[in-house]
Amino acid sequence: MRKFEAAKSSDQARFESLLNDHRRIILKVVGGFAWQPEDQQDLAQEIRVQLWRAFPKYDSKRTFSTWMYQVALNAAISWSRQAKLHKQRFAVVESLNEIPANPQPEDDESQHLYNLIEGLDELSRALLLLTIDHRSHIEIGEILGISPGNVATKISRLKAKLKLEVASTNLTEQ
Amino acid sequence: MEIQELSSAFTALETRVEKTVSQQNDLRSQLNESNLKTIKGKTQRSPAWDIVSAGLVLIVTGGYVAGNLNELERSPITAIPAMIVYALCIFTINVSARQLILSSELDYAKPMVETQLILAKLRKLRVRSTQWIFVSVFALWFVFPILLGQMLISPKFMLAMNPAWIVGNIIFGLLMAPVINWIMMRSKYSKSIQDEFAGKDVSEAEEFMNQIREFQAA
Repeated sequence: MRKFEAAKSSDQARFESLLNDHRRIILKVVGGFAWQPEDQQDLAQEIRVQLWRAFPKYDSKRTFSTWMYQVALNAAISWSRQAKLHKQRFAVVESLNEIPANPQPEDDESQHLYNLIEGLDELSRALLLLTIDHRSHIEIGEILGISPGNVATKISRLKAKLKLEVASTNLTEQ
Repeated sequence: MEIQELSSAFTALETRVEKTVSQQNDLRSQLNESNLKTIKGKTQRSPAWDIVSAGLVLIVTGGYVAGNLNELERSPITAIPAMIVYALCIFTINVSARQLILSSELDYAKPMVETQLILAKLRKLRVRSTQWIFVSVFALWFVFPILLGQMLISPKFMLAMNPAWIVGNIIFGLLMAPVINWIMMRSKYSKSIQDEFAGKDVSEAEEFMNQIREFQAA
């Protein structure tokens, strides 16, 4: 029993250390899927819990960051879809209580970023996060479950879409 | 805004997220308290509970049928309530077992499109089956008191019921099921019930499944 507890404790310590080394992945994923501070906390917890649950099956031959992105993005998309359904149902109640859908970002650039991300579906958001983190097409393909060739096509489409949106925003501002 | 610019803008966003998220440092307590909160946990607990409940009802009904087999054979019409309850329980066990199988395939460490497709299928199955169970139980609610009466008094208890009352209840149940569904979807106090009954969940799940398939296609 003691041996089991000691092994569990050492696993937890190793997990915490790896999590700390790669904490930016959680921040990036949380930043891409949640905007309210309480939502960010909730999502960060969900991701950490899912990572811990998946950790016993983690194969150390794999890159930890790839594995971590896979779990974190799956957790974030599931969380986001549940949160979206919840918000749709309670939209009337929220509007009565005058709760803003998203907090006001501090500057124009952040506002711009929020708008761009919010306009994407969950799968494209995941692709964007991996692209801006400079992950290779092979790694992105492994995380998302699509071929590297497909990744390249999707990235170029995503870039074109973002350019178009930026151009239309600039036109509106002018 | 190019990818490089987006990347640097995102770094600022990460710093803000870090301030919020760093407030919850106690990872150990989070992991211990998280059992009731995770999405995967929710998808497994509910079907398991449904299987246990339906299994118990099956056992009790089976005991009643076995104990009154001769009498039920003499008057087969009196076996209808037990057969209806059997059918409902078997349906519940079947769909719940399918949910558990799907849920056991769920692994967040697998590629995203694969995992999300399973989750979307699971949600669709859960919402659809719960809607069917709800409508059936609502339309056939009177079967349960009749069966209870048969168990407590005698299988002939059913023959004492007025057939017009039974037909009236079937019609009433069928008419009321969508009305109750509609009321529940608009009540802010019944979120978990809404989760099960909202029809738009099915179309949302189907839409997301299509999105995933499109994403997989080159």
